[in-house]
Amino acid sequence: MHIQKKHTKEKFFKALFGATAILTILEVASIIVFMLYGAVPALQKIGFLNFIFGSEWNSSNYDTYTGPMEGLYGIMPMIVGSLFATAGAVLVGGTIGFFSAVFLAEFCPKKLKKVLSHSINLLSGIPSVVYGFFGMKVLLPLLGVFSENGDGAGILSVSLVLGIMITPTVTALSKTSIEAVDRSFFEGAVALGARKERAVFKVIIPAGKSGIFASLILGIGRAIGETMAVVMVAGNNPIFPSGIFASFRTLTTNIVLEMSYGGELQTGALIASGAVLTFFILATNICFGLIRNSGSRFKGKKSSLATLATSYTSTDFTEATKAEGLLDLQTTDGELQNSQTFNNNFLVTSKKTDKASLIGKHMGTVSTIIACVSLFSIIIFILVNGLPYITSELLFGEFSYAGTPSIASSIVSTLMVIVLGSVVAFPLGIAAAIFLAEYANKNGKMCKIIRLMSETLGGIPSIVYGLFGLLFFCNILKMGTSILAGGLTLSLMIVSTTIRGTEEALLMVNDSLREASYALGAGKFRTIRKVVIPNALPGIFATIILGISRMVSESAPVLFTMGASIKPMPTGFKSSGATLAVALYALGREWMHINESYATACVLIILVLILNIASAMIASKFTKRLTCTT
Amino acid sequence: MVEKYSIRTEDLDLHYDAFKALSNVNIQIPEKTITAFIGPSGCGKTTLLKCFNRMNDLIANCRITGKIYVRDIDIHSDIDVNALRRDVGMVFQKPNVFPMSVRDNVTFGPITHGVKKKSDLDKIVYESLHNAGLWNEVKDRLNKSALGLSGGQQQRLCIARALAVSPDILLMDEPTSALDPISSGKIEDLCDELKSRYTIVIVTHNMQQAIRISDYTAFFLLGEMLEFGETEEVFSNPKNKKCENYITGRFG
Amino acid sequence: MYKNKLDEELSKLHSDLIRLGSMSEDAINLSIKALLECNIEIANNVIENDKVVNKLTAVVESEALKILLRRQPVANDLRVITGALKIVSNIERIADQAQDICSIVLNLSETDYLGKLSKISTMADISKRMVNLSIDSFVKQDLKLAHQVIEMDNDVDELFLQIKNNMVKLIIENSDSADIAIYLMMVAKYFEKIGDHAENIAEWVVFEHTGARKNIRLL
Repeated sequence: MHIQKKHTKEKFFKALFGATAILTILEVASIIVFMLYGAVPALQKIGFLNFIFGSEWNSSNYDTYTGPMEGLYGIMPMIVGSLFATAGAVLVGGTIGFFSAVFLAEFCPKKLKKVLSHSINLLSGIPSVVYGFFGMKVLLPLLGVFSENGDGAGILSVSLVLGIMITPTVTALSKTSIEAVDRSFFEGAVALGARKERAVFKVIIPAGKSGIFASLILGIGRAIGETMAVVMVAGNNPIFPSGIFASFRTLTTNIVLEMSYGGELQTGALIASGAVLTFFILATNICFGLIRNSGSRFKGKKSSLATLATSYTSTDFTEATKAEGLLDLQTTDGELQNSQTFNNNFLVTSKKTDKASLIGKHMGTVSTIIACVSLFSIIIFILVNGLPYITSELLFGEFSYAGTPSIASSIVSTLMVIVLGSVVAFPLGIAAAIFLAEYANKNGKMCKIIRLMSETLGGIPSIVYGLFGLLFFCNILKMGTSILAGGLTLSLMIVSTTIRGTEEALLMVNDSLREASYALGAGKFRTIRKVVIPNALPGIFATIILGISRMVSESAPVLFTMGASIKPMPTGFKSSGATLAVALYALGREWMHINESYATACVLIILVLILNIASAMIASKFTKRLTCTT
Repeated sequence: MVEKYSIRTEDLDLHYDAFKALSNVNIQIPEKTITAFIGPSGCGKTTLLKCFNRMNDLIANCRITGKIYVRDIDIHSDIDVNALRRDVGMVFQKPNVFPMSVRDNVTFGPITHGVKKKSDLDKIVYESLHNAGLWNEVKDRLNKSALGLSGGQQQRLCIARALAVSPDILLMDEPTSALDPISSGKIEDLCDELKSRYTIVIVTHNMQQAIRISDYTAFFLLGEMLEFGETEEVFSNPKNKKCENYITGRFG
Repeated sequence: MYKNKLDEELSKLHSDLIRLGSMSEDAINLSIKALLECNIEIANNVIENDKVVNKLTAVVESEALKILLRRQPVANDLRVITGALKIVSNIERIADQAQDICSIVLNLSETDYLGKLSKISTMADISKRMVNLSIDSFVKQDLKLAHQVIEMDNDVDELFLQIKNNMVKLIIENSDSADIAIYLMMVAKYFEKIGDHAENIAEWVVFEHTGARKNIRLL
């Protein structure tokens, strides 16, 4: 018996997985360093307060009358724009999303629920550039009718587009957290004679409120960090928004609009505004984390508790009720207690209904209808307008600088980016997740730091990745605008989602399986390889497919790193070229090739939907299998 | 002497889709007694229990024929089901306290049924908790989360919550199955105290518990009530062979 | 095989009880033989054997109590076990009485009592049959036999009265035989007690089936 023998193999793999996990720390560190490196000199020159509170942004460094100038870099209008846009988006998307979730989780007929839930889940994966495209082509002309200057772009249009965009996310997550509430609460409430809507609004939703808040915060994060959908409908004047139809900019769109012409100071200012943006998103994410952590604990009615405490000290209350109660118990000895309070005859229908809850229920129905109508109308509108123009010429045609565009090169570029991004991101992400889920001490400092870093990465808006990619890969590493730089940028971006998804899949594997394997004398690595990973494999696959789908739909990070216009067929990873999403952005912004842009949107939607359906199917099979075994 | 029955059924059948979960149940549950429902899992005892406050309404595809009378009122006639559930309280297998304060848990029912005055509510809170034998343990933490209570306390809070709407029948679905013996013992003692005021129907898998606390015992198998009688009689001289096999542990 | 562990334990209890029953049957048969033949050797054997009976009694009692503790039996099982606990003490008493009779045989130690037995041999015969039948009724769980045993007890009581009168007569007629008369009186009392114990066994057999003893409902 060699009980004491330790395998070097075990140590090796632990070190390997650990190293990949540490890479995530490095990634965050390098992004932070880069931001400081880029932003600090510029901020010194502009002045921090001037930068944050400055109300004018004018980057043109040549004035016709006064000659060369430094430009003005105040981002307050953009900060206000971002906040307004986000508030509008949450007002629209949060309300619709929350009530739709309530409807779907509690009041929807079963069959309909299945269909609607699945389709809403799928719609949450539609590329934001598609929302922007739809907003630009349909919403702006429509809103233009009501606006004084005939231009629909402004807070209203951005709020609607972003609101609809975040609706599926909010709905899906809120629905999950409502459904996660123990059904016995509902039964308990109904057994006390509460009507269904009262049980839902007074017991179920309060019980699930931490998850619902979290979904709203996630929606806020998405809205504040969104770039491409906004840039297409905001009008993009760098001024304070003065009305719901006034053209304005957000922090994200400011970056995307100015980056390509940047002088050194301007670039620094943009990096600094990226940092401000990241700060906002991290702040919301920290809220998210706090709420999630407090989810298990009871937060209760703090306010009512406080008022109670002032009106009654607890002993007063005890004594008062005791005296009263004892008296009462003596007088009603043998009788049904406090029977005078209720009319104990259920033949008499009590007409008491909880009006607020009832209104809530109807809101749910209406919201779901609005959500479904708007989401499906986007898809259908684009399909109807685009499908007829998906021609072989568009898909496979030769590239030409003039004439009918072909997206063949974009399709190939997209595929190349996916391959490159996958090769880099998935092994790293999966290995890091294995370290976190299997090796790391869950409460250890190391694990906490890595998880914090990974969540930070998830919070950084895609446009900041784009900035980082442009300056680090393209400029510093001298890759130029190339598929190589784009793929690496995307891979950085999806590492954190890969880590999270994989970790979830690993943690879903029942611990009893691990214990069984250890009990048979298998080592840690062997247990992971033979027991944990095979069981988590479908979940990991789903994560991978979702990651691919995200690479397909993202446009902001590749806009600068790979090029913003459709180029000839790439000849290698050094070539530049637009991905499909960027191609849609490029085509959509010009008025020449409307049909082709619709067709491109179709291709993009179909591709992403297929990927998401595949991911959903794998994931659902996975959970089914795991729940069967337990 | 004419006995008063809290609950009566007449030829009660219950189907889930094509599956017959209860067939031809005729039971008469006397007032202010404890009746235990026993039988193997899936025999329909919980299903029958949930018929008495129409909780089966929540399940789609559930079809009931025959009559159920609660206090001589046909509960499938034109009645207010929410008022029925107020009068026929229910305690579940797993303590399902709401994630609210102890106090809010107790007042949820009364507020639902229109009690508004704070002094009334305070009185109900005290009485219900007192009657559930919980008052002394929670009086200093009425405004703290009910989730912080122990399992046994939570279950007694559920009982208090049910008592707070002054029912006259209490249905208990394996109320002690998730509890340790000491907590179970407290609930059993509580049942014994409550029976002077309430009719209690309790589903249990614990034969000894049925013997200890119940006055009447009904044995169910495959949706049929095969034996009903005084508990001592059922457990000493069961008339039905299958019932005997079950209670003596020779089922199969 | 057995359906479950409880059945296995009950069956073990039952067979041990039967073994104990047959041991007490042996004891009573042998004690009668010792009495009628004035055989000191046999008498000593019976006295010696009682230790074994006592040991097995303790085993059976322990088995029954452990079933009560572990299984908390109800219905039929509960009756069987309480019945067994009652029966085992009656059987043990029968063996004790056989032992007591043998002690008297040792005390008498002269053959001159043999002519003065009067109807004691008849009584011995009947009580022996009662014991046989009661154990039989237990083994075969035969209520008819049990009732027969209960009937027979009257005969024993009748005989006891007759013997008592005979012994009084003997003392009056011959005061020298007073010693023997009193010893024989005790023997007769033992046989009468044995009959009572046999009747008790029969009654508990009935209880195991009906839950009632002497027509009074116990369970």
